[in-house]
Amino acid sequence: MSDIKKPQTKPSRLGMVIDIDKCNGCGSCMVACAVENNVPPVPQAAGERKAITWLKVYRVSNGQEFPNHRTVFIPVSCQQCGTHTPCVSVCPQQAVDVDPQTGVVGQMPERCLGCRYCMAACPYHARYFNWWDPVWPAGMEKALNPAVSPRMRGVVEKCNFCHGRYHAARAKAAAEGRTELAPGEYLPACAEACPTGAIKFGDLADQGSEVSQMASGEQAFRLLESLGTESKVYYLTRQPWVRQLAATPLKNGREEKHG
Amino acid sequence: MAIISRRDLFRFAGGAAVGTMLSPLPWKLLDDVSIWTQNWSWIPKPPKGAVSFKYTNCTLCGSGCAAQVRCIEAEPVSLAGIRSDIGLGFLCPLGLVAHHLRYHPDRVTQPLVRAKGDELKPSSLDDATRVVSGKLQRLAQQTQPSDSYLAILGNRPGTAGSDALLALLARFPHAAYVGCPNDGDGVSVLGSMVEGDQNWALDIANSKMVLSFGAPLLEGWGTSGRMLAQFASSDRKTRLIHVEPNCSLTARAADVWLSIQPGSEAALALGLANVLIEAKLVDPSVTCPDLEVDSPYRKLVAEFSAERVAGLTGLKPEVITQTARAIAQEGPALVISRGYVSGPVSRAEELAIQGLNFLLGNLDRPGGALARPSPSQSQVAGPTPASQPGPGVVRALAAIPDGSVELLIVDASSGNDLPPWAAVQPKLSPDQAVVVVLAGLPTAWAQRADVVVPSPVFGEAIEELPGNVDDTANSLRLSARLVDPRPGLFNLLDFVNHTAVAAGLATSPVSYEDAAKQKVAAIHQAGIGNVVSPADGQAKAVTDYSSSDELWTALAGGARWENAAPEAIKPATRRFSLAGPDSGDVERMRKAAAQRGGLADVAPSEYPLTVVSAEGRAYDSKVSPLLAKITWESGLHAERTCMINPATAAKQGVLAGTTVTVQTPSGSLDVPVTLSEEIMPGVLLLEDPTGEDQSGLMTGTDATCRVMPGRLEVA
Repeated sequence: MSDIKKPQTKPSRLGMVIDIDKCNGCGSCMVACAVENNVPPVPQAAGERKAITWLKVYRVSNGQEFPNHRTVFIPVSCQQCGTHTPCVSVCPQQAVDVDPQTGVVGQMPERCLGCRYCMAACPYHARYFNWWDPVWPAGMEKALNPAVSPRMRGVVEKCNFCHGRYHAARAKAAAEGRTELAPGEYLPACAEACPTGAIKFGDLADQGSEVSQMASGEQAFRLLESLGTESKVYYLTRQPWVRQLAATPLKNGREEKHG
Repeated sequence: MAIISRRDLFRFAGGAAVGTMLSPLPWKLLDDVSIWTQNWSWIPKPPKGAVSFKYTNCTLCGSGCAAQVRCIEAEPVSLAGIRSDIGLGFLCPLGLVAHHLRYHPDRVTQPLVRAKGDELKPSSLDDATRVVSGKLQRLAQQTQPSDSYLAILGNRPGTAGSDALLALLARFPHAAYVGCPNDGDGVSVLGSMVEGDQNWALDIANSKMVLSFGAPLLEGWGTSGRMLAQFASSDRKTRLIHVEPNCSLTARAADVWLSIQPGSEAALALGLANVLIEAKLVDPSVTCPDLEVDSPYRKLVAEFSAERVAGLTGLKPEVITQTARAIAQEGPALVISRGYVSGPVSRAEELAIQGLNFLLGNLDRPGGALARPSPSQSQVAGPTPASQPGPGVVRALAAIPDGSVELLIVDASSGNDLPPWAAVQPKLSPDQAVVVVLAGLPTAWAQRADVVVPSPVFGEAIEELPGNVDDTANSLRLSARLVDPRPGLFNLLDFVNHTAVAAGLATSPVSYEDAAKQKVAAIHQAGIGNVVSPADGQAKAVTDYSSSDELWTALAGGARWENAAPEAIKPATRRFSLAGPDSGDVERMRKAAAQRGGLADVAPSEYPLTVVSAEGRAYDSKVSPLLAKITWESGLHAERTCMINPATAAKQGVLAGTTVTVQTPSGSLDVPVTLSEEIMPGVLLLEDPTGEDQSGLMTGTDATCRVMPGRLEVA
């Protein structure tokens, strides 16, 4: 029997908690995400349904009239479903999987054949299809993030909690003789860029982590919770109408009224 | 012998086809064809190379947020905020993709010159220089009082580059150097009410309560990161009372939102002053002749009782009284106003608002208004202090005679707002004016230019950032040169120097970078203040730097020099005037308050609506294409629109998405309509229509206006 010890890593459940009451809709998270993941600028004529936005901030309102009208911003990315992951079960190419170590739902564009079943299955509209070649204005390709390859036309892509950053952090930890990451050592670009601190990221399986405690609070909820997808993106708000809204699908529109 | 029948042939062919279909061959072929057509040589490959980090300060707006720049070899590939710096780690969407600007498809890369009446055409630097230097020569030689002006837009007071340019302009008998509108214009009015020449800042970070007259704290005002950290959180320590007609982001986040009628800010300010004085809530330390019973200011304030102000603002009288008590007893509150973000409160309204700061005893108090030492007081003056302008250099647009400007040079390269074209155009000589615009990217100003000169964009040149309205310390920050610039780019000072040399007016003028270096050398010689490292937030005394070159290297690498205001310059008691510095200011305040900023001058039947300008999130052509894509797709930051309440739209008979013509007494503009319940009924909200607006929609008699009477028609 071999006496070589394999490094043991405690399984984690990486997740996000987004405080809607703190989000001011500035869009820094969307831009940071696009820069980090080399999301190309699609042609303007593409239309909203053909554009690629791994993280999209929706503006929704309570439907009241002035001056009682209130609006909130809800950043929505892949919700990293924990069980019955719809996109995994429909993919004929095994191009989608759930990492047992982190719980992150991964997407392998090399395996994707572009059937878009996963897009149809995703209840959060968080998956995007590359309708065009990824092309940047002349010269701007020099400013791409070297850690992430642009995806080709004809495949689906989505948020993966910036797994390039995750692997870089793990490699750094391993080089320092550690098997675990310290809290905050790895952050997705959106969480890092959020100027109001509305987006928190961490290990939901760690009972002592900030995100775990926030996610178990009374103000926490998840989108379309009744579907039982056990998503790992939680939201916080003190406004009851926003929690009610979370139980209904967000339309792909400019502003949605819910009352 | 077996006979192969036709049937056998068909069976073989069919079997072969089925067999082939069951083999990997067609599927692999299909897959490969698919892959071959998905991957082409033009699909970019990310750069490879050594990773390094640089530091800089963003120049795209007045916030000046510090940024860490990740580079592959020499190429910046991403920017991130720095938690230890004044921006508290904030970078707005513009800043996050600032490194893309040099690759903007519409980048201005060579001079453009307009022949009479023709379109701008690519030209040479020599041609552009000839046009400008000829004008400079003529303007320098004139001697008559009625002669023409050289006017420059883009003064950034206190920066070494602006000081050096002022020295150059002193050689012209008639020159104007007009500043950019900015968030600090309100506090400039406060400064004008205090005796002495001080540069004032607001200590918002230490305030217990803020009364904001429309300052868009969450939309981008002051140092954005600091404002967001202080006010975006629902468990904040600073209480916020926000005055604004519409339900903006800041209004919605405020502890108290006072939705007043547009243009009634001055009336509310005077009403609050009335309650403060009558209820004896004025800070006991305040002594001022204007508080005596028979003073013109007291008489003015007495006219604005809570009941009368209620009629003007739409608030209930008890709300006005309660607000006055709150700002005096639960604060004291620091009173801030919007400044010029997209059109100023008129100076008279600003005087009325800033008067509250004096009544609340906010001068020279932590959490109040603090005087920054001027460059000369902190012994760090640049080569030519701003206090020594040429005798003929005027600083305000209003001071330039109409029709007198023969050469107008506009610095459209920085992130600051510029006055609207409609306010500038009357100043131009009808026959002889030449308009020169320095721009890195096409702007609406460039469309008005006779000569366009390419200028550096973010990361291509060292640039000094002026202090922010909420920077209480005297500071010096530079944006770093991150990449080698294209050849032939000019900043404002260097272009004026270049043309002045060509005109024979100067031989070896001080360049922008040399002016900044001289200022840094003066700091090193004075040995005052500290330098804060962007990498770790650690401060190092200036005296620890062995040479000015070493100090320059640190500052040009993104470090921040700062020097807190020395106690010695604070007098025991400051003299100030609540009635304003000019003799007619009380009357102007009275008129502005009683007539709701001039709205009452116009017949409601002709202009039944009120047009309000707001800090816009309408990103224009000057942003990264990636940002344009994201903002367009998300619908968060749409194109310029006219936002109106659905009830108003129904009355006017317009639908969402309809393009309408918005008309005010000063101009008109075609914009699509967006419906929003966040807008007060009867109000048309235009996002940032004045910054580069060419329509003159919000241009009043002296400058841009925040509110105008208006109407709309389907275009």
